[in-house]
Amino acid sequence: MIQITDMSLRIGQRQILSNITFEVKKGETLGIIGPNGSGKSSLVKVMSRLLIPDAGSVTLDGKPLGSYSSKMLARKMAVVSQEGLAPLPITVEEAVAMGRYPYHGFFRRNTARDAEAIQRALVRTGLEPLACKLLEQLSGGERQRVAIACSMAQEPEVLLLDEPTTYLDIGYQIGILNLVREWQRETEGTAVLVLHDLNLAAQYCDRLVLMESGNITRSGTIEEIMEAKLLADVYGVKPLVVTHPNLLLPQILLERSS
Amino acid sequence: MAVKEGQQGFGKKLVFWLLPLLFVLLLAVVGSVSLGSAQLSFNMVWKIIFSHLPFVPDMEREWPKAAEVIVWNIRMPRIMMAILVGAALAMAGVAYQGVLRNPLADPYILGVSSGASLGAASFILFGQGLAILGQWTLPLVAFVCGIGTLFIVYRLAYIAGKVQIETLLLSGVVVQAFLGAGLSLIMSISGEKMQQILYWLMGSLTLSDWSSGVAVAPYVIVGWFVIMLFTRELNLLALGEQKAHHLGMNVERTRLIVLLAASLTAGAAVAVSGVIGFVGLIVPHIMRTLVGSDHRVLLPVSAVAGAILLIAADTLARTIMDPQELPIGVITAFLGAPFFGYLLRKRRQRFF
Repeated sequence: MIQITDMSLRIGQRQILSNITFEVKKGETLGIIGPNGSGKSSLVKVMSRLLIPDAGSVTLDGKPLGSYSSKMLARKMAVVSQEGLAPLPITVEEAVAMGRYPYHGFFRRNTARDAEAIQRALVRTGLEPLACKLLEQLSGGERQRVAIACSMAQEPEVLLLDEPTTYLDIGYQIGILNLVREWQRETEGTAVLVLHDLNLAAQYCDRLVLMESGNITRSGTIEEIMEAKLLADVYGVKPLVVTHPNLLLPQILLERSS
Repeated sequence: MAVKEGQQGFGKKLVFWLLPLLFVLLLAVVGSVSLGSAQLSFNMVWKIIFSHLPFVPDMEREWPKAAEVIVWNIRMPRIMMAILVGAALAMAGVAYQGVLRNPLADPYILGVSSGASLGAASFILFGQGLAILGQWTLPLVAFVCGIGTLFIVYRLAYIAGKVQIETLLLSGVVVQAFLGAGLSLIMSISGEKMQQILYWLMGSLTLSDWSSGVAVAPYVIVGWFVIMLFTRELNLLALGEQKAHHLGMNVERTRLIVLLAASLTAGAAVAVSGVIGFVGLIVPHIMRTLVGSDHRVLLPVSAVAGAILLIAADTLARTIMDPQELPIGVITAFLGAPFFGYLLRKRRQRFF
């Protein structure tokens, strides 16, 4: 679905990304993990064309990313950022309706098709009861859900989430990730999740890409990446890798040093 | 069900606000025309104006010829200009605030007025002999300089293929400082022409006639149409530029087109009426607190409100110190600044 080859990005004097080569397969859930400053967010920005790389190629569904028009791109790919939506004086339904923008030509009219997509997004994210509430009346977690609903209203094939759980409590964290998973199941869509929580990444992703200082250190299966020595090298702490009793997936346990 | 409501909602809201405003505008027009050194009755003014409307059959002239001249040839053109300029500045203000995502932005923030001022002042001082287009030369020079300044500001802020808002604003500050210095220089050597320059700078609708109104109208109307075409984009920008980009908007191109249209509109207004401040800042602000941030409603409503405000300001300008005329920019500043202060205080309270 997304193919990145030999991509590098430089901003001013700093080399943000170098030698990035990997692919995201259609229908999979790919997790991008790594320490702060490893370039995860920049990678997502390149994939969503907010940043243009200096070298290398990025293709989406076989075509170069640059060949898509803005609206065409938005119909294929939706992005949810960490901050979610700002507490604006607009209703949830209005915010989600903005997700239909990529389908409107210059002389726009909201069609039944749009109403359908908006309604479905509201139902999927459980926001129907809040449809008429203003964003400024909602909590951060609820606004993040609105951001996801807006992205779902775009009816994308790929959902990119850049640290969607940063400002949320554990209830919302699990909730948001479950939403993505259900969406994937229903639409056979592809998801790319940038997560800082390794355990959640292990539980929700099919494959992981581990980044460090703008490079991909390793990419592979959960078992390959959730490996004590590898994580110790990259993060500089010594995590204990245990097996989740129910899911039988590797999980890490942190330990204080003294 | 909730979805349908949202879509129809804006139409109802628009009508709800626009109709009364248009009515007030009509009252303001007739009222303003009837006030002045020659007091004319509201009724008579209304009849005179009505008789001049395109589809009205010939009426009996029950009024003195002199009154007709005052109403139609002297005051009406001025009122029409006030409508055009007021609407233009308010609309440009809405557009600037929407694109720059800053409620303190006004149409002069990127240097259109500074450029126009310097151009006009220079022309008044040096170029009177070059009046190749007669009375049109000064406004044309001002207009070209105003728009030219926007291009300079934009070009200056163009870094690595992008123009970021903060850079654009700073670029505006820099260019305005430079142009301001140029203006001070011109004024300091202007000698006897200084009053003429000052008068231009402070804004005035005194010399409005039908032909200047006709000259300005296309800019205002085209600018209006272009900005109206982008109301959905302006609404989207409220979510932030990154989100707008992710939703499929070409942010850079939208910003350029809207700013250009708004600047052409504001530039045309400044060219014919000088620098009238506060309208482009206050009107969008007030209307936003009343009707909300949906640009599909905010834009038309602000245009009408701007027209009303300027008619009121112009009426005060020519009647308050009769027979002397105050520059209209003085009135808008006196009205605008305290009101803005009041708005700021109200805003602060909301956060607590």
